Amino acid sequence: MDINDILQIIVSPTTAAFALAAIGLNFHYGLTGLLNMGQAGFMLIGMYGYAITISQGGSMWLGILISFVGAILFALFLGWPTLRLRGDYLAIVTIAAAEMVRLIGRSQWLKEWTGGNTGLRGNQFKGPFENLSPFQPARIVEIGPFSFHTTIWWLMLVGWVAVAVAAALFWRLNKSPWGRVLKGVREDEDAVRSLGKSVYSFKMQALIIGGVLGAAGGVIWAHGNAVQPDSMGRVTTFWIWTMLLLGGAATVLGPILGSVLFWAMFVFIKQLAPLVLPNLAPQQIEPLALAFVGIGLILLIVFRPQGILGDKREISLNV
Amino acid sequence: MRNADHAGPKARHFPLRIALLSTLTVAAITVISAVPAQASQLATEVADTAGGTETNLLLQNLLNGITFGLLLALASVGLSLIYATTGLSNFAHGEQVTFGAAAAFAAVTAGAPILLAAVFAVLAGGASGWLQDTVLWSQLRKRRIAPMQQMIVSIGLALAAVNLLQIWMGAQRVRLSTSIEVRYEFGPVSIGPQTMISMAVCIVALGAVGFFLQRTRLGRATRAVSDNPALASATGISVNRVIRIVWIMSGSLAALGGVLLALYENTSDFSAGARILLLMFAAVTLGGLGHPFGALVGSLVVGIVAEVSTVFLPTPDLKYAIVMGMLILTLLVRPQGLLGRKERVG
Amino acid sequence: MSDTKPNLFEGVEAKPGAAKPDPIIIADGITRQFGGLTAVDVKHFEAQRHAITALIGPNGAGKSTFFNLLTSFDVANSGSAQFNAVEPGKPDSDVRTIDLGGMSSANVARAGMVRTFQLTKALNRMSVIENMRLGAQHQSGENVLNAMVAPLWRKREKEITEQAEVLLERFKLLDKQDDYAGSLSGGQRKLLEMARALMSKPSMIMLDEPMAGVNPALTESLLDHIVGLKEDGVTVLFVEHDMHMVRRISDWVVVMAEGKIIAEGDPHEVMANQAVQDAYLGSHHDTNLFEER
Ligand SMILES: Nc1ncnc2c1ncn2[C@@H]1O[C@H](COP(=O)(O)OP(=O)(O)O)[C@@H](O)[C@H]1O
Ligand SMILES: [Mg+2]
Repeated sequence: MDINDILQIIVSPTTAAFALAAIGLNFHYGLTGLLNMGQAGFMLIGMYGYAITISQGGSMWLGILISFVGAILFALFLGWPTLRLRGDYLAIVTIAAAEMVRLIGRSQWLKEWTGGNTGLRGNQFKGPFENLSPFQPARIVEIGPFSFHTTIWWLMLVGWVAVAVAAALFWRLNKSPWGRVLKGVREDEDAVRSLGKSVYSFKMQALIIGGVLGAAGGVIWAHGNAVQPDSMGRVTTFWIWTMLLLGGAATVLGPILGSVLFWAMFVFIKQLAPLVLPNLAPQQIEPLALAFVGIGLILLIVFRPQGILGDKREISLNV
Repeated sequence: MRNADHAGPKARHFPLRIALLSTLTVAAITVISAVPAQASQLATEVADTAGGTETNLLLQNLLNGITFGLLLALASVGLSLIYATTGLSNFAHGEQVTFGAAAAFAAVTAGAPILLAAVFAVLAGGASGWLQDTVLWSQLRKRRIAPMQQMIVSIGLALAAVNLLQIWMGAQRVRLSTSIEVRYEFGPVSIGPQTMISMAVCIVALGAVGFFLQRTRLGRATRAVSDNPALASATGISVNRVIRIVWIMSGSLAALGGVLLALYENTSDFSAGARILLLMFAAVTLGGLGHPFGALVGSLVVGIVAEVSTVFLPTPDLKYAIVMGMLILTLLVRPQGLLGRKERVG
Repeated sequence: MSDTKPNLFEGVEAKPGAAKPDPIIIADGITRQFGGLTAVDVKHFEAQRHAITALIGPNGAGKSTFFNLLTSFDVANSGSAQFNAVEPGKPDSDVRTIDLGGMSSANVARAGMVRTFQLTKALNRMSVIENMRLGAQHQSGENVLNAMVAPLWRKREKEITEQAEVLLERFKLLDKQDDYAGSLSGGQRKLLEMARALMSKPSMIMLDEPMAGVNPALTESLLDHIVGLKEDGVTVLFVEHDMHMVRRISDWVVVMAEGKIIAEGDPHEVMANQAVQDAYLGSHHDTNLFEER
């Protein structure tokens, strides 16, 4: 049992990346009630837009721009047919579209750009960002229990600053008249329509903002790992949902807390499992930890649907 | 005030009609484009002494598409029935399919012949449906947890189940039958006996479902519950009993679908059902959310489009991407048709 | 009450589809079918500006559907409607005719025609005061870019909060302002929905069964509110079943049955109409609609 592993995963770029994606989902679901089941698709679009641009010779800034524009276009593409329809249509279309992005990405068809099912390696796109690192010379730096290479420190710094900015954005918008309209839409869109607001346009704005945050999460994740289409399947979206609901939807810090707890528990279970079940084969440890994620999600919805930070009063309104 | 010309009472059948139409269109295109291909093949046959063993790619894919569509229909009809009666989009339905294959595999490993293994899988699938509804879903309904929240519970269940299945079956591929398939030639297409039996089983099982829904008391009660649960309950139908039976049916049909899928693909693994989950959702949505017969038509469209598209696609690994694209496009072109009845406001 | 004011309906014939001197709404040939059922089939309809018009009729007569059609919450099979809007503070002669055909429900509301729903739509997981603020128009903070810069909308927020408090005071909901709307009683939610609709300073308000489920102790004050609205220059069209209430406050009554307007007239006289009696008796043997209370 190594407590350091748990501490390391808590601050890791992966956790920051998922916190960003979960904040994005919070704009969709927590604020607006949109059932986006394709958040991993937004992450994947983000990382493809970014990594392909750079691997084809574009600059990092162009990469970020393209990644965000990609997410915006994806949101428009998804929202256009479905935001006028009942909520479950958005769920089906987003999950289908995210799957489509993954299937096209991993296909041999565009292999030249996407790298097919093996994706893009880090050295094809990480260069420009790592060159910006102020932590020179590149070496392993130890601070307290954390020991990382300077490029990781740099990535963590940027990642968590991005999370803080996104959380601040959520806080500000949540408490604004704009956020009020979205919450109204979440409660009853016909009522909001009857008050003279263009519901469709507000939903689209929420979908776009949350999608761009997902894309940003994708870029951070790709930097911490690589571009791998199969890591961004539907299950990844389900994880993001688990994080959001665990921390508490519609709260500012819920998605961050959710991401931290999710990864910490994941590592914790992986470490604990061999101690409790010595007969477990090594390749069975990860599925076991993931099975616990699923069971945890069920228990969460049944026993604490508002999550850890959510307001109990809200849920108890059985109306 | 808005104003529009309405299609009138026929509008409700729109999804079915559009699905039927697409099937026919795909079939027609296939046949038409197959003719010259066949002609040229005949021409080359003169020179080619072994020409008799060649099959027509397009027709062969069409046949594969119909086979796969039937399998998909069998697997997804339960998904549709559950949605219709409870409003739940069950994301764990893919694991229900895998469970069937896994149960059959366990039986085969224990020495059972394949037929017995299939029966065992169907029973186990039904039992799992019953168990789930008793332990989980009926409780959630009692607690008045909204269908949307229930959908997230089903996601949790899917995550748990797929990983438990992986622990149970291992990560490797398994085979239900080790016999090497012979293929019979029928003109331009070939088909194996195993596939032919699968198709027959599918058709019989789907026919039985249709008969159940149309002709039996319980089936009519099921349809009444999907139309309007409150009204059904007011007329003395025990809604919870109907839903329990739907869960049992759904579990057994999915299990049967899983077994046949494993035979059709000649292999199976812990994620076999998860891989077709989105195809099942696409089928059910295309056919019209909540229409049990829609699942059949939608599945055939999905199966045929997926298989036939491989002939035209730049790379065959895009075939499921095409299905996803088709689903989105259909919603875009004619969302009202797929909506079924519009809910009332105010 | 109806005797103390100038009669807006001077010379208006008491017959279905009667023309009014200053109509705020004119609807023509509106039909709506659900499958084989014709829910609405209104040949001609006008509502007089600054008046309280009651729309009555047995259950299933098509009143709510007619509301939905006028406010674009539903799509008509045929017909047209126009709204003669007058900006607040402008003279009545300054009419701007708005074609309601093809308009979105949000735009109908922005044009000054707001509504409530028969099944109350309070926004349950929002506080009462937030419900009210949502009703206000012209909020620059509803633009997402402005929303990020609080100073751009603070002033307007304060204005609408004050406006909301005045309305909540009037509707006796002020002490509940920080409660979730979902925690209110059914009647209070009806009041909230009406107050929220008034936040947009509409020129016309359409109330679908505003009295249903409201505590009898509150109905009196609710009637006063509706009359008060008229005094503020708001045109009211409301659906109500209780003839007693209808007689108390309305200036004109329109009767619907089986989708059609079957009678119109003065609230004290219209119930004497044979067609109206038949319509009610046809579906409502046991109501006490005709008894004066
Ligand atoms: N969305 C709908 N689908 C089918 N029938 C409807 C729908 N909305 C209303 N109706 C039917 O139209 C008729 C008129 O309903 P409604 O306008 O609610 O009547 P009212 O408000 O006068 O009681 C009723 O028979 C009702 O059942
Ligand atoms: Mg009504």
